[in-house]
Amino acid sequence: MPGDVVPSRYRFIPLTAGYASMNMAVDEALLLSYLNHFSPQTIRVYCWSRPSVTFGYRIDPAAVDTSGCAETDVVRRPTGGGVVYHCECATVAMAGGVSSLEEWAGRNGLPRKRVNRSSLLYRAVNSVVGDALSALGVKNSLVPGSTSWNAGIDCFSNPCAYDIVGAGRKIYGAAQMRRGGAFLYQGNLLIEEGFDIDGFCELLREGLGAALGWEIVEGELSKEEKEEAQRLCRVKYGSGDWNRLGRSPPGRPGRPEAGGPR
Amino acid sequence: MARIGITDFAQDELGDIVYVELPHVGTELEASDDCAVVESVKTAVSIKSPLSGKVLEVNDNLDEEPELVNFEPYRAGWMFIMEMADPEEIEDLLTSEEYSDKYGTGV
Repeated sequence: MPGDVVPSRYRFIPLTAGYASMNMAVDEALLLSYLNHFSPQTIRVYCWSRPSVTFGYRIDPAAVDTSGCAETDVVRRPTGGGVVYHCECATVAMAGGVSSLEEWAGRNGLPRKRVNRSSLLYRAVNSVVGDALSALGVKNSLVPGSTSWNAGIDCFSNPCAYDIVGAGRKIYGAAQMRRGGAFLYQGNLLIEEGFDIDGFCELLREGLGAALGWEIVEGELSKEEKEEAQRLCRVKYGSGDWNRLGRSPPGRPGRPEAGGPR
Repeated sequence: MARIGITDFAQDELGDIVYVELPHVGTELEASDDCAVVESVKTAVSIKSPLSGKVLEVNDNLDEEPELVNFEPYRAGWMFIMEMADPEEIEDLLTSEEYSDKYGTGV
């Protein structure tokens, strides 16, 4: 099976920095644009322009502890998982088709249909992240896949399957959104002062290409993607409805709209 | 009327489901509209409606026991009941045999 799989092509967008609502908006814009056939599959790494808190799709914002976070942006993610406090960190985001995992699955002796399993994307990508960190001298290990997926509401308090731990704590965790045969992956890396983020990006790019069999070329956001991200930032991630209630604006993709009593 | 849920194969692929968000009663859906979201292994998965119609009833038990979708996808883990707008749309869906052929598993 693996021999006849055409390598998937991904665009790699160099390191950027943005506010929480725009970071989320760009990530979802990449997924929607890919699903609408006007964007390539994309990998990007970004930092946070100021301290932020993001929480997973299903999390009740009332349960998010923002005490001591007066100057912090608080935004609901499109992906699952718990609460993440973004201070000294970088995020790896990817939007693409699940079929792009087929070559990796074949090499690992997995049937092609299993690539739909969300856990496989964590296993594939987080392994590459761990290798990149090792190459930069950051000792780390991947949490075994047999470990529970229940990390509790605070994402970084309890490592779960395929998270990365180092120096006695969780240093990398990821979450996803799946829609129509495509995925949006967001992984958060805790970094310390002096961390070689540019070197990490290069190692990540090379590692993903080698491990997953992807052809990765450098690129930038298109004008249409920027416009879609600005729209999502304005009507969704910058809006109270989404962040407080988890509701998308009427007529837009996202959570089902309220139509009456449940 | 049609009772909507996900297949045993789908629940197995998703893993342990920890959250189910269902449409509201009265919602009018077109086939392929996003109609529900389930979360498992830190992944929010959008579910598409297989048919067009109006949502008549939702399975509120899934609020407290989302794992029912894993344990009994064809029974207690159903998601919602809809009034079909066009029963002929069923012809566009896979039969049990076709599903088994495609995914190598029973329905």
